[in-house]
Amino acid sequence: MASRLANRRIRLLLAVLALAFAITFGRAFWLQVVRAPRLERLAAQQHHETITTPAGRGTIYDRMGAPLAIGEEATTVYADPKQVRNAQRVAVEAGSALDIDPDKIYPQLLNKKQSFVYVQRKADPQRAAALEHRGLAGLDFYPEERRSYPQHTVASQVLGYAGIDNTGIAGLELGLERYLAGKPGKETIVRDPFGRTIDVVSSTPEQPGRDVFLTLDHTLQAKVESVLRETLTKWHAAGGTAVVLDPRTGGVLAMASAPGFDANDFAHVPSSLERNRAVTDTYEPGSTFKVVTYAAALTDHVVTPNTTFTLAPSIHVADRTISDAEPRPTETMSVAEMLARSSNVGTITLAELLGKKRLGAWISRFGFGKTTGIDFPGESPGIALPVDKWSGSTIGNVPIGQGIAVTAVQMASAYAALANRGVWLQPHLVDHVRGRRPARVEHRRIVSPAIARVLMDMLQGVVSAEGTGGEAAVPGYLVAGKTGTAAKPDPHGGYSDTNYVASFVGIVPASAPRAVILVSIDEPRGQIFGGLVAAPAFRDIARFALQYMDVPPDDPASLKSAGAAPLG
Amino acid sequence: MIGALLAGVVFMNVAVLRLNIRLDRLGRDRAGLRADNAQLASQLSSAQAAARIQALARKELGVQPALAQETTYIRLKP
Repeated sequence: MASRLANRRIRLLLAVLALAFAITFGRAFWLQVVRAPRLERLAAQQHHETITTPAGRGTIYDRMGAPLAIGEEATTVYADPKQVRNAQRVAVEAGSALDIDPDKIYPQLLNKKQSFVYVQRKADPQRAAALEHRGLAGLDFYPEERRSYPQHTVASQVLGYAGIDNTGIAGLELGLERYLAGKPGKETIVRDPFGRTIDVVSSTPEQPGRDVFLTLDHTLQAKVESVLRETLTKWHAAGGTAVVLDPRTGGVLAMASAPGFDANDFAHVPSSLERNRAVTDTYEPGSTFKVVTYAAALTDHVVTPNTTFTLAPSIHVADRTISDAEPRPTETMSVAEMLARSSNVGTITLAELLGKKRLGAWISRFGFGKTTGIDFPGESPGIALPVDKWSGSTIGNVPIGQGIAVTAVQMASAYAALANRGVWLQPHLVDHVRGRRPARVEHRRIVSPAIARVLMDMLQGVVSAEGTGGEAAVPGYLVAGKTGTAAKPDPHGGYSDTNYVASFVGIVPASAPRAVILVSIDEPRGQIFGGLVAAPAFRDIARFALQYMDVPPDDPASLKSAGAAPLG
Repeated sequence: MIGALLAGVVFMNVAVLRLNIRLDRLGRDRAGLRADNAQLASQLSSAQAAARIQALARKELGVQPALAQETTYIRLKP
C-alpha cells in the first residue's frame, strides 16, 4: 500500500516535471523560433544605435594663416516632453543654466503630444555640461558645430556667414559651400545598459570639409576698414567701398564695405549691410573711367601723350553741353595734361576722334559690362549699353564715366592691368583649397607694355601739384592714379545736384607696382570731389600697405623730408 | 580542457569589451580635444586681430604707430 502510494507520487512528480519541461520548451520555442525575429529587432533597437557623425566645416584662413571663419563645438539641448516629470523645474533650471527665458520653454515642455523640442540650439558647451550634471529627466544633449568669426567685423561682407544648420548662406561661405561642407559619417554601435559603446557594428567615417586659404590679409583688411570708417565719419557719407589688389597676381588683398557688421551677429543685421558692395553693387564711375578712352586713343594711334588740343571751356554733344569740373578759359593742353587735369572736354574730344564703335570695343576689352569671374557669388556685370543702343549724346557721357555703371572690382582690375604691363588678371579671393591645386587665373592682354608704361606715366601726372589727385601722394613713393567725381542718377532720369560718388583709384609704387587701391565714397557731405574725399583715404591705406609689405621707397630722401603724419 | 577553453573565451570577450569601452572613451576625449583645439584657434585669431593689438598697444603701453620717415631701408649688394 505504502509503495503504491510512493509510486503514484513519483509519477505525479514526473508528470509535473514533464509538464514544466514541456512549458519551458514550448516557451523557449516560442521565443527562440516564433518570436525570434521581432525580439531580435527589439533588442537591436535597445542596444544598437545608428548615429550620424557630423562632418566639421572647413576653416577659412587669410593668406597669413589666421582663421577668419572656424567651427567651434557647441551643445544642442533638447527635451522629450513625454519623459519630463517636472516641467516647471526643468524650465527654471534650463533657463538659469543656459541664460534663456524659462517662460518660453515651459509651454513646450508641457506639450506631451510632442517627443522632441529644442531647449536651445548650439548652446555654450560649458553651460550645457553644467545643466547635464543636474540629471534632469527628459533633457538630452548632442554636440553640434557652431560657425564662429573670431575677427568679428573683419572681412564680414566677404566671408558672409553660415546658418544654424552650418550651411553657407551668404558670401564666401555660400560660394565655397562645396569645399567647406564635408560629408557626414554613420556609425552603428552597441551600447551597454550604462550607455557605453561596447561594439561598433559598422562605420562610415565622416569626411571633414576642406580648409580654404584666401588672398586677403587680415591686417591690411582691418586697416582698410578702419580708414573707410574714419572717412565716412569725416564726410558724413552714406557708405564706402575699398579694394586692394595685387596687380602681379590678381589676388584681392583687402575688400571692404562700410558700414560693416559683425558676422557672429548676422541674424540681427539689416541685409543692406551684408552686401559685398565691391562685387555686387554698381556705380557710375565718373572720371576714373577716362583711362579707357586714353588707352584706346593711344593704342589706336589717334594721339600721343604730347599731342596738343586747343580746348574750349565746354563742348556740345547732341543736345548736351559739357564743361570741365573747374571753369577755365579756352586752353591748349597736351593729352597728358588733359588726363592729369581730368578734362571732360578733352576726353570727349578724344572719344569723338575714336568714334563710338572703337570706344565701345575698348570698353568691352577692359571688361566693363561683363563679370570679372571673381570667385564670389552674385557678381554684377555692371551696365554698359551696346553701341547700337547709344543715343546721340552717349559719346558725350560714357567717355567721362557717365551713363555706364561698373563695380569697384571691375574698375580696380582694369587699373591693375595697366600696373601689370597691360595684362589683365582675373581678380580672385581664394588662393587655394587644401588638398587641391590653386585654380588657374584667367588672363588676357589689354594694351601693349609700351602703352601701359605711357599710361602709368600719365597717371603719375594726376598725383602731382598740377593734377586733381595731389592728396593721394605718398611721401617717398611714386603714385599713379585717377580721381573720380560722379553725380548719382536721380529717380527722375537726370542726375542729382547733391548726391555724388567720390572715388580714387591708384597704383603704388608706380615704379614697380605692388598694390592697386580703389576707394569709393558714396554721398559725402561738405566736399564731393574724389581728389579731396577719396584720395586722402587712398593715401592712408597706401602708406600703411607699403610699410606693412616692406616695399622700399623710390626716393628715401623725400620720405625723410616729408615729415609724414603717423600711420594709424 | 573544455573548462579552460571556456574560461579563455570568456576572458577574451571581457578583454574585447573593455577595449571597446576604452576606445569609446578615447573617441570622446579626441572629440573633446578637437573642440578645445578649434576654440583655442578661434581665441588665438581673435587675440591676434590687428585692430585689437593696435588698440591695446596704444591704450596700455602708449605705443604709437611707426612714422614712415623713421623706417630705414638698406639696399644690400647681391
